[in-house]
Amino acid sequence: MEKLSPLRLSLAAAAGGLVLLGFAAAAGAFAGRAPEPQQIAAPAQASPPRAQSASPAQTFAGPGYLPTPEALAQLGITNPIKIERDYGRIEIKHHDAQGRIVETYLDAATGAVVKQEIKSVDANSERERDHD
Amino acid sequence: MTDTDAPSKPALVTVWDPLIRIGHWVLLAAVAIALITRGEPELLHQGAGYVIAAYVVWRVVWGIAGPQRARFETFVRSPIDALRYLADLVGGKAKRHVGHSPAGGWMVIALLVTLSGTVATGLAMENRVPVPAFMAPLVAQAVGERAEFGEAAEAGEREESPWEEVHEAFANLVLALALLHVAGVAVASFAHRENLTRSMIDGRKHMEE
Repeated sequence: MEKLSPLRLSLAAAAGGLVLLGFAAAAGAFAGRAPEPQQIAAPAQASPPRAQSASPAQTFAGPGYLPTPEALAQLGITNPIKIERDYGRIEIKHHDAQGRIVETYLDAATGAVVKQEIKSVDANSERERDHD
Repeated sequence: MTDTDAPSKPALVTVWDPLIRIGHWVLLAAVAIALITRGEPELLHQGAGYVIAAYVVWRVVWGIAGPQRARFETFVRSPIDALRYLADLVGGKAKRHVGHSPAGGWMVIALLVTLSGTVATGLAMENRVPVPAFMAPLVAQAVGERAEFGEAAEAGEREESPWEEVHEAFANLVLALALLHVAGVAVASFAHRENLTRSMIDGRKHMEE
């Protein structure tokens, strides 16, 4: 390989760095993310709340929280297929009494049921992507 | 690696350096994984995304400070050249290029740009703080947000990141370009009677004017 001039090398480094910087910016590295001062004022659980979850039900507060089997049983869900955090909500895929596959969405902060969707009557249509 | 072919004509030269080749196939694998997983499982999808991000950064550096054939300056021609090449290809009289053809060069650029877009939007949608601060108003406007952008996202009031649509559009664009790329390679291989895919594996092509 021929010798690299310092100019070329620095140009390459600059260009690569710029792309990297762009990705970092997209990832929110420089976005004025609200600091999380509420961390100290965490309710009951050790898990810190999201930015402004000075919210009512303490059982559901905190990032990463997933409902316990007991909490699910209160909603009539005994055998969930999938439980997932999804943009501030908790998405629970489960069977209902009729054997249909249902997705129940809970508000992650309060635990309130936000919406419920019947995903399928038969197993085939269950495969389809769940965002609309 | 194997030297079984009988080059009755011009000598074989190494055109694609090892990193270009490895990078190419790693990128293919990563893009395939990212497209197949379509977001879930997250680990796989995002892992592939980071590999693509690393590839793009590396390719930009390599395109400036890499070996001759990898450099953008050696293969990025005017778009008119690219169109002329494509027309010639259709007409069956396209000139063979040992490096990238003018059309191939633009494919490299197009793929790098769309891959960057996919990576950036993917990162942005994962990071509920959706965008760099300076861009936030722009996006908020586009989405017609009611509340302040960052706040709403943090509170999880929105069901989906506004970037999701853009991310998917970019991903589809990448897929379309990749298919076009494969088609282009097939056509060019046929037109110039050479196996371009193999060249991307062993790196060699026949030298010719």
